[in-house]
Amino acid sequence: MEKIRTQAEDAEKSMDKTQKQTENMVKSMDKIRNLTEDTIIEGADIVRTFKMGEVEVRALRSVNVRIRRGEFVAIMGPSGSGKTTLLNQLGLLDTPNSGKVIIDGTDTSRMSDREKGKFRLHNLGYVFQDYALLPELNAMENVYISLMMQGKSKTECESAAAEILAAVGLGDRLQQLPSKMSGGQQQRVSIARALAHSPRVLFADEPCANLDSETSKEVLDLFEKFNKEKGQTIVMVTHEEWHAKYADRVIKLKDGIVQE
Amino acid sequence: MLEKARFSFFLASRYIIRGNKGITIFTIFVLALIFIQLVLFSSMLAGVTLKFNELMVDYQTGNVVIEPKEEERYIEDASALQKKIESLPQVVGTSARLKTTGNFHYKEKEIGATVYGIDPADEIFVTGLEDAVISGEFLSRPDRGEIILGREVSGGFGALMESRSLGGVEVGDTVELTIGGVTREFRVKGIYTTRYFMADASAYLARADLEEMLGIGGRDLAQEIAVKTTDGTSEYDTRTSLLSLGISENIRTWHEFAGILRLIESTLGMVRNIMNAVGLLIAFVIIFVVIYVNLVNKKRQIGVQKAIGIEQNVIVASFVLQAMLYAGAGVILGYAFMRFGLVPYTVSHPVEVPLGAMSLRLDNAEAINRAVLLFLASVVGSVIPAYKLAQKDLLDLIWGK
Ligand SMILES: Nc1ncnc2c1ncn2[C@@H]1O[C@H](COP(=O)(O)OP(=O)(O)OP(=O)(O)O)[C@@H](O)[C@H]1O
Ligand SMILES: [Mg+2]
Repeated sequence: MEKIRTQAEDAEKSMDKTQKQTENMVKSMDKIRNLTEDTIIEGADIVRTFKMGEVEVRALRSVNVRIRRGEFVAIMGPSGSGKTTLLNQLGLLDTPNSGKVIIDGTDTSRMSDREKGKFRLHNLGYVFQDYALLPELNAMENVYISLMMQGKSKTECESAAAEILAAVGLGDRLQQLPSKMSGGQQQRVSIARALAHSPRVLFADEPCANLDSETSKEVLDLFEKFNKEKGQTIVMVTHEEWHAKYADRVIKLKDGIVQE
Repeated sequence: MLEKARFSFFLASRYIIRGNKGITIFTIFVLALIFIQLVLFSSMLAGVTLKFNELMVDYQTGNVVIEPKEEERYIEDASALQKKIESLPQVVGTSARLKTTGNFHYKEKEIGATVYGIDPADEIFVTGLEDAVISGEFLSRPDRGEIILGREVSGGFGALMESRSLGGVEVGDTVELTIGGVTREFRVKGIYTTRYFMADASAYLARADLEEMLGIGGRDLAQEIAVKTTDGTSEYDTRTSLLSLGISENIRTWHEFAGILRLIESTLGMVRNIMNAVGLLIAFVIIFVVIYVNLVNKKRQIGVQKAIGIEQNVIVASFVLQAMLYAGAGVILGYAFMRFGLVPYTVSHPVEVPLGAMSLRLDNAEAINRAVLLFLASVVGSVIPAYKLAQKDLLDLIWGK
């Protein structure tokens, strides 16, 4: 009986210990989170409506989102819920009717189209569902266009493109034209293109929608690799639950409203 | 700025190198044809003008013509003046002429023509009339009562205005010539053609014969002295030298006699300008269509380029440069064809035209002018569609609206 009691007391003690340990862990994690928890994108009260003749489509109804630096965020929701529209607002490809998009402390709502273009060129990267490579450019040229537009020298462009293409596993296909590549390879070129200029945020709208699950996994593994190793912030729209598992966090949209 | 140009050029060159080869070849080929069309008419005109000028200098005016002083009918002491002029080193020969109009009778026919009284021995140093004789012989110094007729006067020998001629006079025939009421008979010694219509509508006889008919015999009068200089002497220099000899008569270069030619030239020049305008319009339309079709296929790409952050004017410039590269290739191809193909060919195988053997003459200044116009047409033809598309909203472009 006594034996049992002492055993129970011991157990209690060790439980206390673990509790304290976990508490400490949580504390230190909070600390880490506080350190890393600086916001890279803040979307405030974003409203986007489209006029289709007489009808008004309210694609986004006052959406508030906050994405932290180094975060891998998935945007999910039913078809027509406003995922692409939200991504386009955050990625400065479109302008909201009202609300603000602040990227890394820069309020972009007052920018002209030209300034936005320049901002995108230097700070943002995009991966499209259908790859959207320029068919007349080979893999390397496709990858370095943003660097070239930034005014980098040919050697800088080429070495950067070669490096990033090697990182996505296409180091042996630098001169290949998109028409000679599989969908998965093209999507990897397009990821390389989106990352070549080290953007602050990578945006991807259903990057795997045209790919089979094996190739999708390769692409998502790449995203994960850049996210984990380089701390690349990624915002990705997807339909698939298993894609979303790669993300740190999921933003759920429905009828243009974020679901808490 | 330079970086943007570099980027546009990069895109343009890739569009051409890796784009549809058939369209590229077709476009360059058509632009080359248009360039050829643009310069061909000018080259023909220049060739004809050159020929005309040559004929006029060779058969009529020589390089410079001395005419009587203002308000005088004749140059006096013509032979003394000739000697004086011939003392100039660049002068090959001079020919003092009397010149009037007369009426010829032959059988039932009667026509008017310009009649020259010449000294044959002098004339052969100034004009090529002697070699232009196609039947019979040229005059010689002792010949009196003999005449040389141009084919437009005699008729036959392929005269252009046969019906206005005497209708087939032959060497040895006798024609009647009436000048100022005086009629005399002349034996036709030779018939000539220069192929230059105006020069072929004349007749030549000994100056002494014409002096008699005009009633000025033995007074050493002339109405013009044609002066032939060595090749390559500028007519203006000759004029200056003549003036410094103290010649007070009227000195005119052959250019001043080319009036009718200039009329023809300016008439043809108008035709040429119209043809050029049509050519340029076609070039504009071709470029417009090619670039437009190209652009329609690239709508989404343009949207993606804008999304990446490539500036709109860089995108527009890439298509304009593409069009300019097409135009440049077309110009080079067309120019090479003219310069190294067609023009040398017509020089070694001249085209027979009523004027004689004619070859094309490509003027580089004209060629550059046409090249610039073609470039402008290609710039306008590409800027319009490229600008219209590139200024659209990038999402509209991406979604193909
Ligand atoms: N340019 C536009 N013009 C008119 N309506 C639009 C436009 N873009 C989006 N919409 C509408 O806004 C709503 C949200 O569209 P959005 O493309 O953001 O949805 P989504 O969640 O990305 O859908 P999907 O999963 O099918 O891609 C839809 O009702 C759509 O029809
Ligand atoms: Mg979508």
